[in-house]
Amino acid sequence: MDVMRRAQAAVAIVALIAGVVSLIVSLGLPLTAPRGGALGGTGITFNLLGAALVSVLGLIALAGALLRRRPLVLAAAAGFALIAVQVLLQFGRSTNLLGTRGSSLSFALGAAAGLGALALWARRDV
Amino acid sequence: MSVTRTSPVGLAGEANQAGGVAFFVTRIVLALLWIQNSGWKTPPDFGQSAEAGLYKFTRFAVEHEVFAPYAFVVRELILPNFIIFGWLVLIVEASLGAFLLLGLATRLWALVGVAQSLAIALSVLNAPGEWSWAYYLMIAAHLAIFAAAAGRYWGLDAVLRPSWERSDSRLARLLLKAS
Repeated sequence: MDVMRRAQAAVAIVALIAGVVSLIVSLGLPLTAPRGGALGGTGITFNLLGAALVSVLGLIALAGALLRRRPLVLAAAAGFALIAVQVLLQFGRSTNLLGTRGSSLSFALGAAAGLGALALWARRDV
Repeated sequence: MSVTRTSPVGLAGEANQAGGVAFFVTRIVLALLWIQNSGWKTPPDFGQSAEAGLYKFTRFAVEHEVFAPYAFVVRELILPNFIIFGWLVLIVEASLGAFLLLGLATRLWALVGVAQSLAIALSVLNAPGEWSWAYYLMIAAHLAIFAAAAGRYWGLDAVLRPSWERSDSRLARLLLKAS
């Protein structure tokens, strides 16, 4: 596995772990609770819907890295970018479909930028 | 009698490795600092109506003045346009967390971190209960990861710089400088 795909896999695994841990800590909350469960002391929160979405996107990115399918990595990056937009639109409001806050924005932005940069520059290198 | 010596090259290698680990850890800790603290900058009014949260800490720049020109800017420009300022702070701090965690364009974001730490220090340094060394340490830590180009230690800068070096594009040249 080349260094670019290893880096994609690393970012995807971090996202996947964050999603799965968020799923565990959000168990018992309503699916779309406006305040999600906290991911340790990081301040990152997702409710069940948000955690499931993060887990699925992490899996898609990991599959893309392992199977050399750049469109999958880019799709996951786009998904994380949409989560970042959701935070900007709904954080601090009574309707917050993914149970997010500012720290979740930072996490989603990082996943989107990291996967996006790696996928786009890998393409340019071909 | 035999004398066991570590060659200077070996020592330098070990020192470099230890330094790399230290810069990596510093970068991750700073990223987590910004990630956690972007969580309480809450829109839509960022604490203005309750005089709490970001609004309260921003007002400290005027109520417990540290530097007169900065207090003037806060009083005349920032507080009257506080919602715009709140969004700006949220986006900058969330981006600091994201990019320092990735180690992407690390030197650029380290400088942004210095500027943001300085702005916070100028707001709260004289406020009751504040420990001023926390802000000096934040500034120093950002300067350290800037100087060390800490994204080149287990960061995306290390992965992407070879591609940027091969590229002729303007973006690649900018990213090389930012990393």
